[in-house]
Amino acid sequence: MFNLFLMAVVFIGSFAIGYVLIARVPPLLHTPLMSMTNAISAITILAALILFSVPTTPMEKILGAIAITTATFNVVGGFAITDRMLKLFEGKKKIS
Amino acid sequence: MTLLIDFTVIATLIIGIWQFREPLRAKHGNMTAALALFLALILVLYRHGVADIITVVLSLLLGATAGLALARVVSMIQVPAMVAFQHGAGGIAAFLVSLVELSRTTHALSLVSEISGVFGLAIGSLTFSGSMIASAKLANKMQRAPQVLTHHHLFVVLTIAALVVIGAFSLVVPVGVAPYFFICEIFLGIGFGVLLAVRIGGADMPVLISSLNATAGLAASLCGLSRKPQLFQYSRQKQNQPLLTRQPFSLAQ
Repeated sequence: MFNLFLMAVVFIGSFAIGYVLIARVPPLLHTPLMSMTNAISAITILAALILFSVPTTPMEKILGAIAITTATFNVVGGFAITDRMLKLFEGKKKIS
Repeated sequence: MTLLIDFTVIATLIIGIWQFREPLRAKHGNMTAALALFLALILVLYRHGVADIITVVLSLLLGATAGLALARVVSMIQVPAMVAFQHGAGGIAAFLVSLVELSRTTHALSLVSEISGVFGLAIGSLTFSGSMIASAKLANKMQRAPQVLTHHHLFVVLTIAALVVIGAFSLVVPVGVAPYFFICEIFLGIGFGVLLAVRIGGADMPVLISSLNATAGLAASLCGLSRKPQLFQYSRQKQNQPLLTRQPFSLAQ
């Protein structure tokens, strides 16, 4: 019961934190922010890893492996592409 | 102590997003957020252990290499399509994790876990198909104009109704039959994502991607909810996007 309550608090609280954090991001940075949050949303990777914390059946192993691969693809690719976008910004700043 | 470490990781992530307030610091923010995710990953590996290290390491390496390589190779014009594509990959992970977790017979899940697992299935799969359509439209591999099927609205309503009914039934049917319901739920979710995405034109795609971003985060957090409360805390970014969707902005500036 306590766990459920804690989870509910974290769930609701994170909405508020997210709102406060995002509200002041300048429009200029919305695109990189979207790309960065895209990377963060692949936090599913943690759940995928936990799938492997107990012995798995072959089917679970295959599905789990696909899940880890796709989630890693999203995390690593997401941060890499955001980094590229932001480098572009730096260049623009120097020119102007 | 455990909680303290947890909060440190969360704080790192918050600092990362915080730095997005100034253009020049945003790059560090990106790296800080990446660091936070990396720490969370190490923490999970340390706390839960891995039963099958080879599969895990191979999948991690494969995903990381592919992600890094593709992110570096694509031209700037293709970046929006690539972001949407990565997003779709994240959606696949979300519904697969929910599927495995739900159909596992080794341990019983609580009702809350089961409900959030079913939501994870539906939301993960709609994120997957919606993002893939968005990516195809942005990459000009699909007709960019909005496509509205005859009785489009009816189909949407029917799919939502079916999602709810199948989802509810999957909770009460015998354990042996339930996986079929889960798979059915996934396909319905994929169908819903397609219906949602095809009617949106190429120029409005960033808005769609933003909202799919939100649904992906939600799917991730539901995965966490269906699993463990400690894990749940990390999936906090889900709320970011609805705010952005209110302000259409151009990805391909």
